[in-house]
Order: sequence, then C-alpha cells, then structure tokens
Amino acid sequence: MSNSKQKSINSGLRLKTFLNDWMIVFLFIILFALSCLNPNFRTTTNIMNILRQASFVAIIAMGEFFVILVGHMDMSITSTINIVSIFFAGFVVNNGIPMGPAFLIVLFMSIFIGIINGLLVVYGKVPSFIATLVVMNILKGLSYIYSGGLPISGLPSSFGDLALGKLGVVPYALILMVAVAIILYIFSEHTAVGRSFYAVGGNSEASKLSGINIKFVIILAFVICAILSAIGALGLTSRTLSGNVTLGDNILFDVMTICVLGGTSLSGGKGRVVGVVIGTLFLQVISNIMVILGVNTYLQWVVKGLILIVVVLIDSRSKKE
Amino acid sequence: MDKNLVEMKNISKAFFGVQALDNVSFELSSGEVHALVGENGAGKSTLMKILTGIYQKDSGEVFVDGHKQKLNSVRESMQAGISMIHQELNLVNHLTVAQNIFIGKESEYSSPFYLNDNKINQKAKEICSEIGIDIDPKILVSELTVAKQQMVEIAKALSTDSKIIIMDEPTASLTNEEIKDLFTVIKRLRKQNKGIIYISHKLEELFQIADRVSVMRDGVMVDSFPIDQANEDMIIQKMVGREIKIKPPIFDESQFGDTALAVTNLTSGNLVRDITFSIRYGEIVGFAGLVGAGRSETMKVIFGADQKDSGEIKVNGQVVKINNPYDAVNNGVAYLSEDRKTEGVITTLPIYENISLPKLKDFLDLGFLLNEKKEIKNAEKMIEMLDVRTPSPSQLLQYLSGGNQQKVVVAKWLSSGAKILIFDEPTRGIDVGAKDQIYDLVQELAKDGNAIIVISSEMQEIMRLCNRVLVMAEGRITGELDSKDISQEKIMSLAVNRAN
Ligand SMILES: Nc1ncnc2c1ncn2[C@@H]1O[C@H](COP(=O)(O)OP(=O)(O)OP(=O)(O)O)[C@@H](O)[C@H]1O
Ligand SMILES: [Mg+2]
Repeated sequence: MSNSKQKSINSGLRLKTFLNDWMIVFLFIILFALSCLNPNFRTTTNIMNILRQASFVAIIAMGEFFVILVGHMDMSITSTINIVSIFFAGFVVNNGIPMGPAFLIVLFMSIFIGIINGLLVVYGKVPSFIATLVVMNILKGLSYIYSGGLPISGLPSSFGDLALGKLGVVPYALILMVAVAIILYIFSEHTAVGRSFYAVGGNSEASKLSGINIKFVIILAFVICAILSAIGALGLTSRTLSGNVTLGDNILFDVMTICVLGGTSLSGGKGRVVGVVIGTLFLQVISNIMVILGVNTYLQWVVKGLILIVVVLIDSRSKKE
Repeated sequence: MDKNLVEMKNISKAFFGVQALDNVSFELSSGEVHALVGENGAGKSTLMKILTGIYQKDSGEVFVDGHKQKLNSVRESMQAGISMIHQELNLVNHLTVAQNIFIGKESEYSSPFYLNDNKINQKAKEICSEIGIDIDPKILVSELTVAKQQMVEIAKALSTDSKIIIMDEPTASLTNEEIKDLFTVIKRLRKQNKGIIYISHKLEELFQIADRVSVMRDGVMVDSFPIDQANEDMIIQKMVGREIKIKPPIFDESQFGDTALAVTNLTSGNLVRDITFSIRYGEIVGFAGLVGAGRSETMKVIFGADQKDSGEIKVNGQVVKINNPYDAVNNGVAYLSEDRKTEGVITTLPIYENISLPKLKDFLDLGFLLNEKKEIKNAEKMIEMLDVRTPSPSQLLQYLSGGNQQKVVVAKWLSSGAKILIFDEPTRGIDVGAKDQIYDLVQELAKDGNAIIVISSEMQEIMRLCNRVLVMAEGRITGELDSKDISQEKIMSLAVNRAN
C-alpha cells in the first residue's frame, strides 16, 4: 500500500473511532441545545441543579461501570445504598457517633460487601447476576431489621452541605464528582491495573494466561463498585438529612441505562469513565426537561425505558460490521 | 468439472481503514476442489464471507448456478446452496453432535413445540455415514477432538444440502492422520459433484487435494491456474512476491547456558504421566506427538493453568511453587496457547495493548502511569518485524485477519521479556513467508540466551527450529532425539509407540 493511501486510511480509521467514542457527546450537545429553547431550562439555577443531581448518580454509575467492564453485573448496589444510608444515619443520630468515624464504618461495610460479592463470583463460581441478587436481598433484610423499615432523620444540617452546599455557583457535589471521575479516568486508562480490567473483560482466559491476576481484578471491581455506591449513598442521604431504606430502590435501572448510553459494552471489555459521566448528564437533562414540560412520573419511566432499548439496539447493530 | 457453480465478478470491499478486496473475480465449477491461497490479510476469508452473506460487497456481481444472487444474509446464501466452515470453529459445546448439525433447522425434523432428538440423531447418522465419518450423534461436542469437531462442521454444512462448501483453513489444527481422513471426505464430496473452496497455508496439501489454485495478494486476485501447472515455489513466489529459502538450524552447544527449567516426575490426570525433562538456556526443545498425546496438558501444568497431582518443577535450579499463571509469569515462564480464539487474543483491545499485556510494568512512568507512546513504539517494532498487516497499531484485534491475530499473539510473547518461553503451535494459520520470519526471531531469542519449548504438529517446523526433540505418546515421554537424529520417521515411530 502506498504511503499516502495508508495515511488517508489511517485518518479515516481515526475519524471512525472518534465518532464511536464521542457519539454520545454529540447527542448530548444536541439534546442540551434543544432543551435550552425552553426558558425554564436554561437558567443557571436549573442547570446547576441538574449537575448537582447528576453528580451522585454518576458516582454510583461509575462504580457499576467497573463491574460491567470486567464482564459482570452488580445487582446489589440498590441495597448497598440503602444499608449505607440507614446505618450511617443510625450511627450518627441514634448512637451519637461523630460523622467522621461513622463514615469510616460504613466505608468498611461497603468494602466488605464488595469483597463478599467478589469472592462469591471468583471462588464460589456463582454467576454474578445471582450472587449479587442474593447479597442484595440479604442486605435488604438486614437494613429492614435494623431500622424496622422506617427512615432515620435528624442528621446534622452541616451534613446537608454535601448535597446542597456551593462554592460560588458550583455545587460541592459537582466538584466531588469531577474529582472522582478524574481519578477513575486515570486509573482505568492510564494504569496497569486499570488496563487489566479491560483485558479481563475482553477475554478473561487470555488475560489469565498473560499473567494477570484475574481473581484480584474481579474482586477489586466489586469493591470499587461498593465503595462508590456508599459515597453516592451518603450524597443522596444528605439531601434529606435522613437515612432511608428505600433510597436506592429505583437506581439500578438508571445506572444500567447510563452505562449503556455511555458506550459500555454489557459483555465487558469496552467503555470509558468519561462516557459514563456524559451518559449521566444525558439522562438527567432528559428527566429535567420532562419535569419542566410536565410529563408525569410514570410516563417518564416509559420514556427512559424506550431510550435504553433504542441505545441497546443501535449498539448491537453497529457491532455487526 | 464442467459448468460454473459460482462466479464472482469484480468484487470490491472496503472496511474502515482497509481496502480488503479490490476488483476480485473468482470461479468455482462443480466437482472441483478450488484452493484459495495468499498471505495473511490477503483477503481470502473476506471474499468467502461475502459469498456466505456475512459481509456485503461494495461492488461486483455474484452468480450461483448461473443466477445472479444478492447474498444479503447468511440465510440467503444458505438457500443458494452455500455453506462455510469457518477459520474458527462455530459449535455449541454443550449440545450434542446432532443438535449442532441441525441447529436452527430443528423444526424441519420435529414438531417445533416438542423437540424430539430421535429424528435428528437418525438423520445425523445418515449424513455422517454418507461421507464416511464415524461419530456418535448423541455425544456432546465438547467431548470430541478438534478433528472430529471439524467433521461435525462438515456434516452441518451438508445438512442443508449445500452444493458449495467453503473450508477456511480446515487443517490448521489437525494432525497428518486426521488430515488424511478429511481428504477422503473431501474427495467423496467431489465425486458427488459438489464444489469445494479450500483455503490453506499448508501448500504441500494443495497437491494432494486441489484441482485448481487461485492466489490472492493485498486484496487482489493475482493468478489462477490448474494444479498440474504449478509447483510449491511458484505458488510461494506469486503469494509473497519473493523467494523463501528454508535455512536449517545452526546450534552451538558450547553456547548453551545453565539449566533453565527442570521438571521431575510431573503427573496430572491421565495426560501428564511421570514427565521428566530439562532444558538449558539457549536451547530450543521441540515436543512432538499426536494430538492428545498430552503435550499441551503438560505445558499447562508447568505454567500453572492446570493443577499438578505430583512432581517437582525447578526454575534456575530452585524448586518453585507455580499455582497459577500469575506465579509462572513472575518466575519468567511464558506460555503461548494453541487456542488463539479463547486463550490468545483479546479482540476488544487494540494491537499494542495486546502486545504489552504481559509486561505492563515495563511501560510505567512514575511507577504507575502507563506510557502509551512507549507501548505503541514497541508494538510498531513488532508489527514491522512480523509483518503484521494492519493500518495502525491502534487497530482493534477483532478487525485483523486470523493469521495476523496469531502474529500479534506471537509478538506479545516474543517481546514479553520472559526467559523461558513455551510456544504451543505458534504458527497456526500463519503464511509461509511470515512463518520464516517467526522462526528467525525464535532462533535469535534462543541465541540471546532464552530457553524455548516448541510444541508443533508440523514436522517441518520442529525440524526447522529445534536442537532436540522430545516425543510424547499417551501422556508419557517416549523418546528423545538429538538434532542429528531428528527425522520424520523416527518421530512418527516414537509418537505411535505405546508408552512402556
Ligand atoms: N471487519 C473488519 N474490519 C476491518 N478490517 C477487516 C475486517 N475484516 C477483515 N479486515 C481486513 O481485511 C483484510 C483481509 O482480511 P481477511 O480476513 O480476508 O484475510 P485472510 O486472507 O483470510 O488472511 P488469513 O490468512 O490471516 O486468515 C485484512 O487486512 C484485515 O485486517
Ligand atoms: Mg482468513
């Protein structure tokens, strides 16, 4: 092949991967531009609101992203969120433990949950869907036993800053999310361990034979997921200053939609942290505009469901060639 | 051999980044075995995938039996009487032979609401006996050897009454005996006036089985001629555009270093029995034997991918505990698996990430940041050395041709920095020219003081590479041959020898 031909082919290739990687960004820009036609949407307050609300969901979705990346699925995030929320509130409100230590305790709880999930999958050889479903139910049981199913309110108002506080116009939540995203971006795309997540998700057998400790990688994915779920849970809890055993109940669907929207392959090995962040914003803007337009909650579910289907269809069609 | 079964005219096909086929024409008559050869990435598989409706052509025309066909889907192509046995086998392991043969066509043989296997077992038996293969249709595919699985693929192709059967490198993982069986089947098909397109990198086979040969290069059809007007050198010349001289190996035993790997009384299951051998740095030791002799199994135990029952492994004179491949790599042992698809390539990653995977530590800045520029540079060097056909080192592996994927796997281990390298069928699916380059590199690696073990079912490969050969049969080592003694006959007689 001649050199110039090779060059043009190279740039064609680059354009294609570029479009693939960034399609969601273009879609998001279009969506955002259209939404801005509505005067109620384009206010600074509303947009900061969207960013604030998206932040904690994005953090949780980034957790799930790592599990999907290694070719598994974590169904237990809903219950992890619930149990962290209720125990944290319980520790602080009922037992008078200061927030710092209480945070550390729930953090360790989440790490423990992640390890259990990982061990069941890696050593128990239980399909992750089942393993995490079981863990989900156990956690659910535990959090109801602990709280009797009632919310625990009365967290100190300073805790509310996590969700509601601002630096100038910029919400703390957004700053936290961006920081987490940057760390995870570097981790996933520019470190050796991060690279092995992609390898294991792409072909675990080949990765194993390349000397990658795949058991460690899979357990680590579940631990990261659980930790990020816990952080997200605290953020969501701080909005109402109360722990709640149903806090995360509806989040799994959104998180899955976000990951797929962001270009994560459900069979593993493909996807980017940046995609997850954009995916979250995308979904949040759609929810927000639907609220502004007065679409009722149930119809919103339908719309979100359709979005997920459309994205999955586009994804599987583009994979054919 | 009379009328044209297939006529492909001026077919072109481009993928993003690659012009895979450029104005290619191809013909197949009934009762003909038409061989299609060419270097890795020449476009052979792509041309055939167009004929089977997997890819759609950009331009050109296809006639089957004189009728113009669009071939928009696999189904359409099947209805036109075409079926293909792919480069990578496509069987469902946990289904039976008969269930695999009739997959997707069950309803033609039993009620769609209640599947009854009797009918398809019966029918499968008929098809198998028709082509003279002896397989129990009720057995699970996972229990068959690769050769037998290959036969199941052929039976599957015949179950749709295909007139045209395409075989993409069917012999890549077969032994000589098994290849003979396959040829008997192919000859029978030819007698039944079917048309067969036969893709292979083992050129000597063509003279046994083909009637006509077509050569492709860089997406272009170079030439097409009857086999009796051809010889191997001429085919290679047309394929590669240059001559290839086979150099016999030269070893200087005084250059061999200390014992790298010593295995004593290694036993694991039935296929690894009491294995004892050692290899020194600088050596290339071949493992020969029939498929199922336990060679790969032995290596997998040494590499920690399978567990040993008893025995001892020493690396550099020290007893080591290798419980998993991770331990092995840390001890400087590398293993290139014979099974490219499930244990070799990571198709979702680009070439350079595949290559650097076993030694990511070497590409770190500040101890934790991956330096992709360095990775890409290393990959570019390997791509150049092994002549991997790709538009860029960032191309995802899934878009490379089979042989080029194999080259990447070889590149990965050649540059892994491991001191003890185990290559299991390293050149499977690689074209003659590139093979030679790989042999040179492996020999250089040995000269640089690495210890290398090569498992190969290709006698030529063993003789071209190794200074010593161990032959295995039924899980035991049955003999050892020095470089002066290595000959095809001696290896064969040891390989069929019952262990005593
Ligand atoms: N889906 C695809 N996307 C992009 N490029 C592709 C795709 N499939 C094949 N190619 C490219 O087309 C060219 C021809 O590939 P093909 O698989 O036909 O080669 P081949 O002759 O069968 O080689 P081999 O002997 O290695 O099997 C190669 O350069 C390959 O990289
Ligand atoms: Mg091919």
